Amino acid sequence: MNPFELEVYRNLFASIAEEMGVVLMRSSFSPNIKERRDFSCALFDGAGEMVAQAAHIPVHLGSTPMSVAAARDAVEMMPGDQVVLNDPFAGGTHLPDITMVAPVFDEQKRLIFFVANRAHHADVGGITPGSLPLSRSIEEEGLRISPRRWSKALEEEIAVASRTPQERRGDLRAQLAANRRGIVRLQEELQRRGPELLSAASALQEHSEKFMRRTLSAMPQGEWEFVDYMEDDGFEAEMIPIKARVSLKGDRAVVDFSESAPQVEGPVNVPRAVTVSATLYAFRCLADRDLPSNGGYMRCIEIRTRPDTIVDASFPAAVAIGNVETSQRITDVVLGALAQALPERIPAASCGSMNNLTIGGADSRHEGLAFAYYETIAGGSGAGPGFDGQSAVHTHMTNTLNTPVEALEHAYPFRVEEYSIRRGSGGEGEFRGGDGVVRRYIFDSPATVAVMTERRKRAPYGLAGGESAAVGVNLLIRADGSSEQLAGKTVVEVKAGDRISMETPGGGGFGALRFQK
Amino acid sequence: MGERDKTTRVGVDTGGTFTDVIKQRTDGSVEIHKLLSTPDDPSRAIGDGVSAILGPGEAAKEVIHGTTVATNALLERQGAKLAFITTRGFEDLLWMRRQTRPELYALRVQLEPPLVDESRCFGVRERLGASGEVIEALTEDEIQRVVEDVSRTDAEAVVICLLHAYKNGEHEERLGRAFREHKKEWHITTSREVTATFREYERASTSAINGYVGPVMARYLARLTERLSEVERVEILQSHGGRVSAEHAGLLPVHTVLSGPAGGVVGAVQAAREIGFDRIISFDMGGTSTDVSLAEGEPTLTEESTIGGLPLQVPVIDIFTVGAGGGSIAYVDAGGALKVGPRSAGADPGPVAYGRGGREPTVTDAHVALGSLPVDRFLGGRMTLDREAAKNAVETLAEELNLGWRETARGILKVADSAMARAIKVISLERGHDPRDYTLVAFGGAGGLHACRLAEILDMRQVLIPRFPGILSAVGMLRSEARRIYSQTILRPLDSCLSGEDHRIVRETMRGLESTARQKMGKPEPQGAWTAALRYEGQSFSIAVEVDWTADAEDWMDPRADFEEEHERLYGYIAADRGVELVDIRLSATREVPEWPAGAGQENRREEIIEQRRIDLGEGLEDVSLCRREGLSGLASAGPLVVTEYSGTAVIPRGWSVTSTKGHLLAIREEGA
Repeated sequence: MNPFELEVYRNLFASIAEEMGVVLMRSSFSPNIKERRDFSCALFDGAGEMVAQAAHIPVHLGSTPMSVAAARDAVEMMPGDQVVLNDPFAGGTHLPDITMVAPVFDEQKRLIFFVANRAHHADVGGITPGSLPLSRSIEEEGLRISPRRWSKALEEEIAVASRTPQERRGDLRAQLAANRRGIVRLQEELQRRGPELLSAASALQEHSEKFMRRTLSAMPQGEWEFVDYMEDDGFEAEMIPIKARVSLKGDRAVVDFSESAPQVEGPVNVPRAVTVSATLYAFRCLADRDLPSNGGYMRCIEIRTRPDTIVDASFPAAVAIGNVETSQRITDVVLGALAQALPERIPAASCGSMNNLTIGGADSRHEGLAFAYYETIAGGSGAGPGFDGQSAVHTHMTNTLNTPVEALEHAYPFRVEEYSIRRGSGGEGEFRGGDGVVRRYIFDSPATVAVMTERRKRAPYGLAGGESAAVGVNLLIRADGSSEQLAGKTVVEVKAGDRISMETPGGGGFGALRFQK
Repeated sequence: MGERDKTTRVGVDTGGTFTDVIKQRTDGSVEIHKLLSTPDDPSRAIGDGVSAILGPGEAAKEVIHGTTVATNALLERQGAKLAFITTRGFEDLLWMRRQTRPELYALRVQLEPPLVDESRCFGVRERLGASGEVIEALTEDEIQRVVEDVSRTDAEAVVICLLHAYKNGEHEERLGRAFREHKKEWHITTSREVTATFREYERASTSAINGYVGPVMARYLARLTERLSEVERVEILQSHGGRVSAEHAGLLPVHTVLSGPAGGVVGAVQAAREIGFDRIISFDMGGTSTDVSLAEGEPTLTEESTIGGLPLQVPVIDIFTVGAGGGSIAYVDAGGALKVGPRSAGADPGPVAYGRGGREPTVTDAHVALGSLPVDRFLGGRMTLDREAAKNAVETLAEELNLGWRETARGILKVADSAMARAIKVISLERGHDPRDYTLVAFGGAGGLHACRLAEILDMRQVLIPRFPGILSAVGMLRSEARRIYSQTILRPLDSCLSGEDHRIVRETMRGLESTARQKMGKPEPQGAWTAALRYEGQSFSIAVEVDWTADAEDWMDPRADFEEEHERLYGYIAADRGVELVDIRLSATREVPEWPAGAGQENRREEIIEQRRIDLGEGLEDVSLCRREGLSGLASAGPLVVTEYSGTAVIPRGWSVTSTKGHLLAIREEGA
């Protein structure tokens, strides 16, 4: 394929993935998808290798190919089928992320492409509203769906398992519609362009591979390692090490996590798919922005994990929080190792937590109707060589939007009292880390609040002599004025008049301060 | 002409390099004038241009003007010193944004800084709830305190945005009044006046833009009206394509920040309407970027746009911009693929062919090298292009790719076409419209060069290249309608609004909006048209549906069926079991401008082909006829043709034919081509 046709096809595939995203976002029902945009859409070739992905959420990057593989292995797909899954041990990441995979056939009934989308559902059952519980096994986290063909009965099964069945039905319909749109567009292009569409897909993957090989060849050669820790698993385990050894050799990279901790009791384990996503993200950031997001460049990065570890967990490990928290730490350790190889490029650690908050209960304003609300709160980004960090922004593995206070208070029985920059929380240095955020809620009626956070004890690291950032603080302030500091991961019952204040970590500083204060 | 004839209408578009002026008399006759812009004070070129175009004894009845003063003040960060007033606890609102970063895979996170300095943000003790109810009252003491705090700063404008003010504007109004009374020189913005829609960050950002450009715009409009004191009426085109008095534009200048590109779309819609086409996709290809927009009779509006990285929540014409234009630079990426843009050679140094120091090949250079942009006819022959230099630049790139220069030049054009096709897919397919049902209306310096090829990619059959393609924005301004748009968020179940407890509230809201429109627009009475933004309960994005509701009628039609039809078309399903919610109602109040006859084109004359040349239009060298636009007739001429005129060049490939109708070029693709 010649050099300009590559670009023509890249535009073509990317616009299909993006159109799927528009359908999903605009027609869905839960704030998670429509307001926060916690979803991804992608196209795959008949072998299941990614052809294009719309720029949505990095944590889905390397994990959707595994969903497609799992769906193919489990179900013999026919035209019109859609396969649903969320099982972390069979192509999923954590239970709230429901993935739909659909085959695309040509006129000779050959399976030539797959389309897939993944969306974070606000509640799929489990022991806590919002399905991000302090769990001891996957069984406590909600409905687990191994790859299965879509049916009305399955929709009902999911709806019944959820505390918010109406929302689930609506979101699932939006997911089906998004895939259908992708199928229609691919079939139209196939009719216009014939088999060239298929060769274009593989040419694009080869291009992306070549692109990454060149990027890797230009890097220093050698081996570097870095270790950082998950503070706790919400139960007994503390300071759980995650260790990455990165070796750059010629035009290949190997990232070895096998010396990371064994899987733990609490929900901070991740299936291998999440480790792959976080690692690919780090390398994707090192390449020029022109690099097309497809399976090609993933071929030159080998990721080694050991089964039954925190980064490659096995059934029945609890994984609810791993996708959102452990994924950030994996990024931190890969970038920490790379910073030794490329000190002139890699910034200090960012906030390192998605500062997850789920609130559930009965809405007294609407005859006690059950609600489940989930949000993540931004922090500071790390400072780097030549630049300060940014305050109040999502970093690395997530990029979900906040829910506007006006939308939130319209829909739920609690209010936001303060939403501000947490001044001074970024790490000092020649370049300052960005500051975290203060978000304080006041409740009008009783609710169950699950706080799932990290970097409450071990701060985001500085680099090159820069200081680390301030750790985050979770506060519960009772209606009577008494207050207590909450653990990093905990579930509490609040009453009317109580407040929860979330103070998130900043980003690390870069470079030693030149003048002492 | 003894007595001064005050019937002439003048349209003026201020661009970065040129100011375009167009004049129309009641008989429909038209004159155009182009002069260099005066960026230090754009009103100077406008004053000079208007004087130059008016004959002796002639005065203009009205001058309609698209201004970039607000846009530039914003993009160049040359606006006023703002004080920002908000609910206590939310002083950092403009820094919190939506907590996202613009680039997913960048190790350095970069965000546009807000328009306000941190030291001039103030919280006030007050709180409204989601239904507009008062949770904490705003006291007079508190008002005095904040006014005093602000008066101790060097603020020139005050922006007030309180939580839930879209539901209840009372606290904002009281604050606004106090600030106005304290110091007349302050430019005051209350968020509810700017946009009565929810989402506090977007509303605050939009209000801050208004305050930031307000004083700059006021000074500019004062100079402009002074220079045009002979003119009966000076009006400004707004970003939604309707025009308002200069006075109103000074109060709410945020409505003018996308005024320039809006003129082009309005011009495209009018040109299409003249020859009976309703459904168009406008395609404005300039030097650094390309603007595309879809219209069905009227331009499509959106309230979710951004400018300079900041959200803008007022109705603007829904224009999608892609960083590919004539000056876009072609290069080879690390994986060996050919890329075009977004880096651009701009106007200076410009493409290699301009001979002003450009070194890297651009889209324009590819055209020059292939011959589709004839070197001796650029700007009516006023500027000669260097074909050899363009070809050499393409050749350097060709060596890197291991291809021939000709193949590479064609490749550059193909890549640019695919980027533009992707932009058109965004505004059509992604929003449920099939481009095959639309006519592509191409303008801007380079629009005509790419239009037919682009139409082929998208399987479109008709291309319209309006008269004066290089100054279509000024044409659009000349004939835009006086229009204002008022909206109000409701967020109540539709059934309840139709006949239940909310019916009365909605009617009162409508009555309020109508009386505001009447009061602000004066006589003659504007025509009102209502749209309702609807969604299924629980969704976030609404669909606008026209409704025949009036404030006085009891019985309203139920728009649910129309809404669901649109939902099905856009998203592929209907949720019959779901309630429908009325998100907001919008009044578009228009006072029509009397139709003037269109200028007579030269029709049914024999075409004058000036010469035959060997040109590569993408499929190898072939014999191509070169002709001037004025030489084309109402009889169809078959491609391949290259049509040149002062402000643009059009390529009509093999398989297309072109006619001149009412002064516009209409290219039609032959069946099967």
